[in-house]
Amino acid sequence: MKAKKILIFLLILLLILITLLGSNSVNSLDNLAYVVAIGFDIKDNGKLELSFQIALPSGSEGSSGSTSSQSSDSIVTSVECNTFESGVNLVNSYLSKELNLSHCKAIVFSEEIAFQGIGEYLYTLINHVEIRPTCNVIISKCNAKYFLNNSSPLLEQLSSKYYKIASTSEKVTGYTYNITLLDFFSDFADSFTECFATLGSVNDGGSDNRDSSISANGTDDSYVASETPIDAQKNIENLGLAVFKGDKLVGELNGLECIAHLILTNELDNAVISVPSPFESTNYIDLYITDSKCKTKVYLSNGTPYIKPDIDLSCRIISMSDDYKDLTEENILLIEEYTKYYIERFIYDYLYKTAKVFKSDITAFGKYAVSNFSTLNEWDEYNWLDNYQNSFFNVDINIDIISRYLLIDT
Amino acid sequence: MNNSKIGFVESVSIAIIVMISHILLNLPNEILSSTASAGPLNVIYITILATIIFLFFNKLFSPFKGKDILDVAEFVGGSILKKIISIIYTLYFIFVAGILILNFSNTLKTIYLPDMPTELLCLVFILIALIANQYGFKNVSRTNAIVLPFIIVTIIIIFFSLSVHFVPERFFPVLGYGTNNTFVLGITNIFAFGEILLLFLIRSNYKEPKESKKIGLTSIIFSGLILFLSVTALLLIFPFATGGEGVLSIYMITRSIQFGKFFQRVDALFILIWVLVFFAYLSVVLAFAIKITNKNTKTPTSNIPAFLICIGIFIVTLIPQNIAQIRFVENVIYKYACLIIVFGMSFIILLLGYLKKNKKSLIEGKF
Repeated sequence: MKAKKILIFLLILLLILITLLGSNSVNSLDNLAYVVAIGFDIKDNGKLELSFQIALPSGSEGSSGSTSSQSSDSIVTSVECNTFESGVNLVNSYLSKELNLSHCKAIVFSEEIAFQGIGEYLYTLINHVEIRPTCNVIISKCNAKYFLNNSSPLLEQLSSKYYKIASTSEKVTGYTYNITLLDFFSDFADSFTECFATLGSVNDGGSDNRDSSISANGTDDSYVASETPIDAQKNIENLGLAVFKGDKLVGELNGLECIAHLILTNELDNAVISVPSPFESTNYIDLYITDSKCKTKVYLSNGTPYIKPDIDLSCRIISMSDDYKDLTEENILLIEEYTKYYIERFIYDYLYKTAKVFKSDITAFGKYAVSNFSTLNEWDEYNWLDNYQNSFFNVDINIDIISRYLLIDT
Repeated sequence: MNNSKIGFVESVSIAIIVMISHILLNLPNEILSSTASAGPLNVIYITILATIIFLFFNKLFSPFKGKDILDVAEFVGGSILKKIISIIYTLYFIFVAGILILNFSNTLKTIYLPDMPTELLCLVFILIALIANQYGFKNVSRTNAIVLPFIIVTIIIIFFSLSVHFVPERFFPVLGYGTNNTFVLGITNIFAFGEILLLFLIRSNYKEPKESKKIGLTSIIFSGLILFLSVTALLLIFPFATGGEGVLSIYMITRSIQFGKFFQRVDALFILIWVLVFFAYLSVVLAFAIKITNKNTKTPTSNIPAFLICIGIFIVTLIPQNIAQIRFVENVIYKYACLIIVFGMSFIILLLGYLKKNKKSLIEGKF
């Protein structure tokens, strides 16, 4: 019994000694540089340009009283390189610190690199242990480096928190959608959907030099990132969606088309849409979509997809004027008819744009079509992602409009 | 140690911890890569098959109350067959434990300990299992029963916290790669229930030998349920899981878990619990290997077999040169070794034992 106790003691001692071998790595805060966002650009010579937005430790020079447009609590460091990891190494060498990507909140690809294909970077990023699958993927209409340089948290103190908060506006507006790296990679690898990402850009913030023809149909929800006529400090803006076919960018969707996308994918929380008034052609009625449900059925007719979304919307009239007394039952019905026609039109526009122009099923109708097949081999042979462009649609919308004010109830 | 009797909970825990250890590494991914969207269907199918096989084996065991499979082997072919079978089972446990620990150590190295040599990590696991086994089989099984609820809770948390991200349509096409792959070739996935072997070896340790059927059924159904939850979670979240691309599949799932804005990066907590699971797993497997060897060498209290088995496990961890070899050994060699040894060889021994016993009883007029 005593021998056994000695044996156990010796084994425990050996176990403790192993931990003292010094083969484990110790990284203190002093050795690390925390990356908040990563930007991917392509240079004219075909090389990759990586930009890292690095959080500055409190008390360092840049963290207090910086006058640049860049976020005062971070710096952007760029490097020209061949691969992602070699770029990280070069920056490590320059900073004399190790870049730590575990707090990275956003991955920004420029449109230029996205048009060429980002598949190889996606595999690198999703395989990286430090990069969280929950960080956001943004496709920037401008240079990614420029995007990061102009990311200045106006109402937040920390850049990392800013990226987190900025992406939540989609819940209120429906003008964009927050895509995580995991969502993006899943869609990329999936056989019944294509991938899409948040569309971002830098809004110069001055209304003087803005092209007035940008909003062709005149509504406030037809802008994409950088086009919003805001008069404010230059800053980044996420609005619209970037549409991919495979790993290549094929187009973009504006705010209204994004709302259509969210309605069809049952992801819409709330949104405000402006519908032309049936009473006065120059006026608009603002509707607040409070509830949205979409049931989709996909039939295959001689190999051609026939897609039938059935949408139920509950809206609230939120614009108010002195003619509220005109909101009679007949007029409400008229508004419903107008709204139904309006929403139907922009949903059809969205559907045919994705099918015929982009040839990309970002709505994931494939997941409904797959139930028509009994084995994966049949499904793979059919090749949904290529057949989506042959789809035709029949949208059915039911709208329930209510109006509740402090002064009147209809 | 042979006199260490264990109860219902400890027995079931031993069987389940083995299944969970495999689930945490690559078992769900392995099932999905061979059956794709039919993975959950295949799990239900193999669970039913495993239950039927266990009931059949239990029937074959019925004339041998309070005996384990080594006793049956001795009855069939004398001490020579018992020795051969014991050596095969011991080598099987050494091989399985070595490969699994090497795989998990590599996982730890990839995620948290990039500068730590894998061999050293394996050595830590083996040393802890060796220390645990100095306290006897009963204590190992009790510790195991304490660890098990934690891991079951983590699997349930993983499943339900991510259920909002599930895409139910990923169940389609329901037959995956076809009926042949799901129901004919898919039978080989029954290797997932290799823990049945432990139930054959543990029979002589039951406090209540008549509970053997209840213990076996509970273990298989519970293990099947956990496997079903894991495979379903993986299938409904990752489209790339069916392509066999997700190497650390369950870990990948945990990285996506967030509880609001406050509780994030909970994967570190899961890893901590999984480390405990692998300590428990290795202790159990080592305990069984020691039990078999001690029974074979008739040295019930000697520590030498324990040291030799630990050295054997450590040597196995040194053999594969790279991850591809580990995957090949785990997915191909282990799979077929399990099918041959657990379901083939054990079946033949039990059948011969049953027939011999029946013949003997008929001659003696007792049957």
